[in-house]
Amino acid sequence: MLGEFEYLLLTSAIRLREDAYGAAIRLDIENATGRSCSLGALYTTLDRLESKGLVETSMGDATPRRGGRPKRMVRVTAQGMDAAATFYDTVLRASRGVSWEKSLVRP
Amino acid sequence: MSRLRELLVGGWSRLLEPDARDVVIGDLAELNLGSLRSVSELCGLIARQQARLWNDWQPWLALLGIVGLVGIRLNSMALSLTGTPWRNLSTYLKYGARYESGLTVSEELILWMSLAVAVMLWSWTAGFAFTALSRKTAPVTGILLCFAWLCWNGFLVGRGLLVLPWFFVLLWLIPSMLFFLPAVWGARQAFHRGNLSFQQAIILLSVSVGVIALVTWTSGWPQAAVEKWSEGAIHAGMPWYRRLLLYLLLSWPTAWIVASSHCGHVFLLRSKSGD
Repeated sequence: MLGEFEYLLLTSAIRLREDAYGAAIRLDIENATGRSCSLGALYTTLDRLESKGLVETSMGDATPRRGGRPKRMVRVTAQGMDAAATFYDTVLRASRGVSWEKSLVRP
Repeated sequence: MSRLRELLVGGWSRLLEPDARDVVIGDLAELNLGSLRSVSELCGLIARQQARLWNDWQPWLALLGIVGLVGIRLNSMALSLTGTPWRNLSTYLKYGARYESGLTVSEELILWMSLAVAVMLWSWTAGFAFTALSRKTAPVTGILLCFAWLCWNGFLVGRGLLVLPWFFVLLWLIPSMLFFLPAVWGARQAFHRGNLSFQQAIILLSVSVGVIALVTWTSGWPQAAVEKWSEGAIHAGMPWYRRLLLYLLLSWPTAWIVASSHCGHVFLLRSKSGD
């Protein structure tokens, strides 16, 4: 089972497709969640996902905007797609019949 | 990227692997964060990567087995080397005569030199094995250890300066370098070249055996001199087998270097015969 941040990273990489790399994924996660995302969390999670075989990374092109430094491109594997889909289904199933109205919460 | 940010990020990013370094600097440039934010992001990444590396046993062995067991002992051995010249100099300055330890000048010189050579050799092998055991954690841990070493020795020097003339303190500081400089040199060599070749490891082993035999023999001289002077009434110091045991313990990084070099040699021979 994936962790929350692992799921966010996988969905972001799937959404960005060929443009999935460190800085772009970070911005995408921040836009999607409204929370800040550190490079430390991003790259350590990426390393973990890669060691589990859920993503593959490769060196991309260098651009002048990056000071001539290469990008670390991310591609989600079929196994990664399955893991993200399973996580999503689990959250949906677990949330079925649950109301998020705060008035239902006991003080 | 501003000059300040470039300098800060460039300096800190040296603690990352070369491939990761370029990627992260590129990301920071693209995200256009401020200097402080860039450095804090970078430090966060380094801290997380280092924390992950400590899940393995090698960094722990390097820290406890080499720094804890060998390094601290070697540092105090190096500092104790100042004892003989200090004693001789202070006696000469006070009384205008040589301190009579029961040893001749040449015996004292040989004893001091053999211990100095042994400390340098063991410090080099400790530094080398420390880095070879865990190349990825060695730079960060090494910097922290150097800082701790400088603080501790700086504290001792500061305390010494309160009560002693500066040349005494200097005399005391030089032997500590017999530990520090070879250890840093060994660590750097392991970082840049990896392990020793099998032939080099055999030479290192031979030199180590010779040095252990020499210091086990010479470090018994002061004890023998006191026994001779007291006509057998005083039995001071450690017996030879306990000294040998201590020196063997200080040489375990050498044994590790030789063993890992042998494993690499066997692997190379097998892969050649497999072709």
